[in-house]
Amino acid sequence: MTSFKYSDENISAPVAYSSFDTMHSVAEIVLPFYSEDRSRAIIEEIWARTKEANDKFNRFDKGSPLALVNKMAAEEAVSVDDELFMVLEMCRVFCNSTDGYFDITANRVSRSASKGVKNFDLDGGSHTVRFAEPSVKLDLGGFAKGYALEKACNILKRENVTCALLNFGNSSIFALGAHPYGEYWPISVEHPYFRGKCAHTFELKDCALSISGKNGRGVEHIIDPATGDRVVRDEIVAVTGPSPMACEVLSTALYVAPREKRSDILARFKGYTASEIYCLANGTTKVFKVH
Amino acid sequence: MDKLLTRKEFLSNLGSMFAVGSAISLFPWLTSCTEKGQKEIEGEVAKLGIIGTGSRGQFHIANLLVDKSAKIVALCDDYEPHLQEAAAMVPDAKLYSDYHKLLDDKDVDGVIICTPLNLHSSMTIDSFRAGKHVFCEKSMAYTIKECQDAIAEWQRSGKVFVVGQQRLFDPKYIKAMELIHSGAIGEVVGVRNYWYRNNDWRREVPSPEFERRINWRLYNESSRGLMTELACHQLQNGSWAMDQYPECVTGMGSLRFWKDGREVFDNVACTYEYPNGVHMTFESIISNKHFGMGEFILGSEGTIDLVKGIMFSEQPAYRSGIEQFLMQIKQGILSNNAFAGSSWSQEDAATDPGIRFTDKIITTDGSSSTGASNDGSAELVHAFCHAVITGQQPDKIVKEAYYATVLALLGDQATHEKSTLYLQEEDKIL
Repeated sequence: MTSFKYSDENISAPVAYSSFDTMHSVAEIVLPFYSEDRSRAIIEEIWARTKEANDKFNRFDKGSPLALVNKMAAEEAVSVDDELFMVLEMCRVFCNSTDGYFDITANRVSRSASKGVKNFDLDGGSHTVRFAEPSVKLDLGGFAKGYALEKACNILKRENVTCALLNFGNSSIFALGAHPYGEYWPISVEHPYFRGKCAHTFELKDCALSISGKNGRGVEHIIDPATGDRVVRDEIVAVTGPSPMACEVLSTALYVAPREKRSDILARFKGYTASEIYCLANGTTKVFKVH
Repeated sequence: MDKLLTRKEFLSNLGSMFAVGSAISLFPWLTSCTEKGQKEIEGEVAKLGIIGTGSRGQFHIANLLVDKSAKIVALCDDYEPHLQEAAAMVPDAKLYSDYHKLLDDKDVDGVIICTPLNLHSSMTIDSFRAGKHVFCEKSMAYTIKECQDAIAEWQRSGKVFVVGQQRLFDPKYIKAMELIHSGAIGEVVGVRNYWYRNNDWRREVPSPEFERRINWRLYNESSRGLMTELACHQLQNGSWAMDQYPECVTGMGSLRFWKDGREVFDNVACTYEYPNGVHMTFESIISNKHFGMGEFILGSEGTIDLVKGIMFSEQPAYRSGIEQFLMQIKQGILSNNAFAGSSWSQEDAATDPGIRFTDKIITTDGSSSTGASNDGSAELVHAFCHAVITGQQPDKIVKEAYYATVLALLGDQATHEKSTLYLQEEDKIL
């Protein structure tokens, strides 16, 4: 479902807002300063591109290319299109650069736990993917939102948009330029125990933010690739930096990684910062930078 | 608060909730609550006798004392302390210790019977035979046969008959049922009721010979325990929501904790099956109150919490993180919004706070065994006054009460037999 709203009541800052149900969540955009027609055209292109990514990377859709890979790649090399091949290559790179803490093969039942990139082979010549064993399954859930957000940003930049805010499911955000009435976009993390209460505020300008932690029901849902178990943490991990895709990967990887390893991993990604946010049941919050 | 004002608010609530005309077709017993119904009895009073002036009787007296359409002219109880307590509330009322004498009183137009369950039927029948209109507390009677006897006498009498199912007059239940019947939660697929307390359900007894009279709820000779005292209210929910009645019930019950000489179970669990395959549960434990009281209608597209007056969607609306920036920019301001966090997904439905569907909602935890304010009880006795004055029988109200009692009695039998029992064709009399 898509919604679109537009207001030119404020003549110095007309603004469009749109939301789009996708990736089992909702994507939103605030786009100031453009006419209604121009805003609508830009947003429609972004949602179309987002839908493409969703259709391609949704492992729950039996007809999706990723589902086909999951179904067949243990038995034979499965040919995939350029985009999916590139995404799988990127995921292998991210897996290596995060010491395996970001791993699209991580799942709770797999016997392939801890093998990381060795779980699947990519053949660059034939653009095929093949699994090392039958229990391997690929899950792009921790990657696709960041990827789609990256693509959306590229569209905005191509259109010379200099001010916009994109939000994919509250966990992946990109602030292009600054709020029309500020020096930045103020984006606050909501305290998980108190609806609407600010736990910590990020001041974003031309910057992405990705957050990993318990889901909205307070349930651990991120899998430790080394064990196949759900990762249990007290803290939320938030990562900021230029690329929404890298932020998404890093927030997941750092959440999974033990605290003592987080600095080393983060240091490999120039221009990115990470915070550990501890939200206590009494409403207080403690924030630690990962150095 | 003045009860008349409360009733005005009730009418106002009704009006704001939906067009009263359409409400009346769905809830015909509410006629007395309409403006037209109020005008019909303007300046007139129903002269009432109260039979049974214990806690529930006094609760009704308190409501009636602020109802301009009611005048309590007689009180009756064979337990002197209760009679004197009531007399202090209504000093002008005539006092009786034998209800037959009250029934002979020509000043009494209608009676309100608040006695132990095993006395309901005989007192109701005697009252009709004496030419009185009858309000009988729920449950309607101690056995299905006794219910049928009371109904047969009512039908012969031409008088009005109201039974104390106050949820029928509770604004949040009325609104909920209107939503359900309009399809707001899709198809009804389940009904869940529970009522938990942690108290011994006992009343203070001045000396042992009064034990069975005062604590009549605890003994099989006078009570069907949790099923007739608590379940009877909640079992109405499924039937009201689906406009049909269960075919059968299976149940379990035991005396687990309060082993103090009582005979009725202190925990029961029943499951009813409707002709359309829907199951309705009722559970009650009175040695743990953690869950309190709950009544839920489960639909294919949503859930209604009847007790709290909240509707939950199966696919709750996404709570936008950044839409508020739209308003800010329109107004030329910048402020902070707390929305970022772990990824929102459609499975987050369980944490959705739902939508309150009535204003000024008053909820009760079900801990009182006398009654709660604003639960429809005041409107219920007012409806009885209206019926007494006009002679008009509130439509459907006896049917609702009859099946609520029959379901409670069948459930009670099932818990004792640990069996599945069917609603018999010959018992479908209304």
